[in-house]
Amino acid sequence: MLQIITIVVPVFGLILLGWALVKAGYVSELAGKGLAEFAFKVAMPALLFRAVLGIGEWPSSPLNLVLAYFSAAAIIWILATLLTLFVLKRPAADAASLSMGSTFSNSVMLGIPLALSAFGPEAAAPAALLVSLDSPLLWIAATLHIASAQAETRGSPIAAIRGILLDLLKNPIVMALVLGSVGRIAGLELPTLVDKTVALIASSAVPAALFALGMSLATYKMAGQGPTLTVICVLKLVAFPALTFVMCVYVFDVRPLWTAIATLFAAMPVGANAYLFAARYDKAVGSVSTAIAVTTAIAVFSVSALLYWLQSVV
Amino acid sequence: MNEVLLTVLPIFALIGLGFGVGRARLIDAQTSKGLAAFTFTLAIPAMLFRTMATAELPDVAPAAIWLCFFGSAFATWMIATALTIPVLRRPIADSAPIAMSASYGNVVMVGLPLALTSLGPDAAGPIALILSAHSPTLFAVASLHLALTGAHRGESLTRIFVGVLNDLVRNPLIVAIIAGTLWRLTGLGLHPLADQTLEMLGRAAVPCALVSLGLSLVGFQIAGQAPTLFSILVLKLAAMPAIAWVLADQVFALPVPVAGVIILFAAMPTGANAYLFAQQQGRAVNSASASVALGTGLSLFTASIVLIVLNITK
Repeated sequence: MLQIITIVVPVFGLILLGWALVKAGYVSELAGKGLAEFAFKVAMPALLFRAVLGIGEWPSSPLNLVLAYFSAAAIIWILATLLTLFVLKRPAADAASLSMGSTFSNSVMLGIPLALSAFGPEAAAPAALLVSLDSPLLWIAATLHIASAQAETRGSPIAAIRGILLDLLKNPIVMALVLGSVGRIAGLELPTLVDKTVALIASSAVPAALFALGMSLATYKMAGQGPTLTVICVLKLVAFPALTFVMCVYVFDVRPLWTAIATLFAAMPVGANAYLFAARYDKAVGSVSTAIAVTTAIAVFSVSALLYWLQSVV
Repeated sequence: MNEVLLTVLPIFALIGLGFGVGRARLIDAQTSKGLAAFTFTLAIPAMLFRTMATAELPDVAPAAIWLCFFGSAFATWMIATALTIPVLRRPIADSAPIAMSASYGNVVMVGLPLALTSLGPDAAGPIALILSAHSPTLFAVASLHLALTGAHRGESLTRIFVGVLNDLVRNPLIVAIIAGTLWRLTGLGLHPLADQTLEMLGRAAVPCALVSLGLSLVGFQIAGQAPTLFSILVLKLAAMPAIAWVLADQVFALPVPVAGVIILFAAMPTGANAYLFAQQQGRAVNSASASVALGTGLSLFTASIVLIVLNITK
């Protein structure tokens, strides 16, 4: 248990510190934006590029990992949609936002730091794989979902998806993952000097991401409806990780370490992309915004418990 | 030689990366201010606090360290002042900013990363000692200089003293060093959780400082009179470290990590504060700006030479 605490406390400690210092007015929100840009445009891409390049041979096919994680995500997505329509009795167009909120994990800012602290550098490869697929797949699903739910469609879904894919190609994190994969396939080996430079930048990725996350949390407004919020929290923090674990172990026979990482990623609090999506279509913005703050706070305990349990299982 | 390059080049590569990212407008001026705010109010203070609270400190009297470092700074200051009127043929009012540019080195953003990566944790103690006194001492000297040359008659010695104290209380780096020292004196030690949290935050300090420096260099112009600029660069990058070497190595015969920090810090390029000072005086602004920009680039070579020489003496 003590070991879990030493993993979780520094991670959430930095988030809390970032949040508290913005709330106290010691650092400005501007500092948070600057740091977030540095983390996403410079440091995290460096870390992921280096991680993907260093993957070496996959110990077993990563396809099972991908199938397990995203089949669980698909089931949770459908569940969230059904709950929106029949239990929460909200309009169909809200379902896309709420499903996104129930399945989109904060994998970059929180998942990677936690996975690396808890499972060491071996976690980097499966983590990078899930990160690279998570946001494209879920953005596309959400866009198709809202297009089919909304009577007045804003252009064809094909055009929307093309837009998403173009956006993704310009995303520095995706770029780093693609470049890393290409380099890995081509058998590229970084000269010591370049490797040291990339490693130096990469070493700041985890603290910068955590701190920026804390600072950004201070800007989310608390609003939205209690029942909706409860549904997102339960689906995101309990149902999704539980289902992912079941899929990994009983259906797709994923290796233990990868199972642990997939389950950890599924158990992450709601990520900022869910908010961006909700805000873009102006559906359930309050609920998703609140869900990010609330699930991040609950995750301190739920993730500690999960890591403790994973250690005994994996 | 090769090891020196492996130490020095990644550091300057990060500065170059920051500069390139800033030039290409991938990160705008506003957000780079945010990154700088995070670096200077949080990451570096966290690292310094932890260092002072826990690090092994060398068995050298602080007075000897200060005497060697500030001795070289004062000597350089005097030479710069002496050169201003007869050689550079500039008015006496220009002498303060010129002397400041010739002796105020960027010990935080370039010195700290270089000293830590080349000399290791042994360097932490002398680094903190010099950092804690650096900016207040040189600004006090500058104020005194202004008062004596009559460039700034209003400034009384008491106000100078108050200004120095004010800086001590408000500068996060100095606060962190003092707080860390006090914590060390209580003998409580750092709880592993607090230690790990600070360690994680501090890991961001070096890369963020370097990228941040690179981003800030975009705003500096290379202009001003060639003889003045040349004198400042020679004094700052060659004369000051040479004097520091004489004092630390030949006169006081300090042990290697301590003398190394002193000489390396003395060799640091002109810091942005010297430019701010010149701007505040409205004198020699272009020369100060150019010496920051050019000096930072040139210090790649001077810092390498210092490290090579130190290796030989070691």
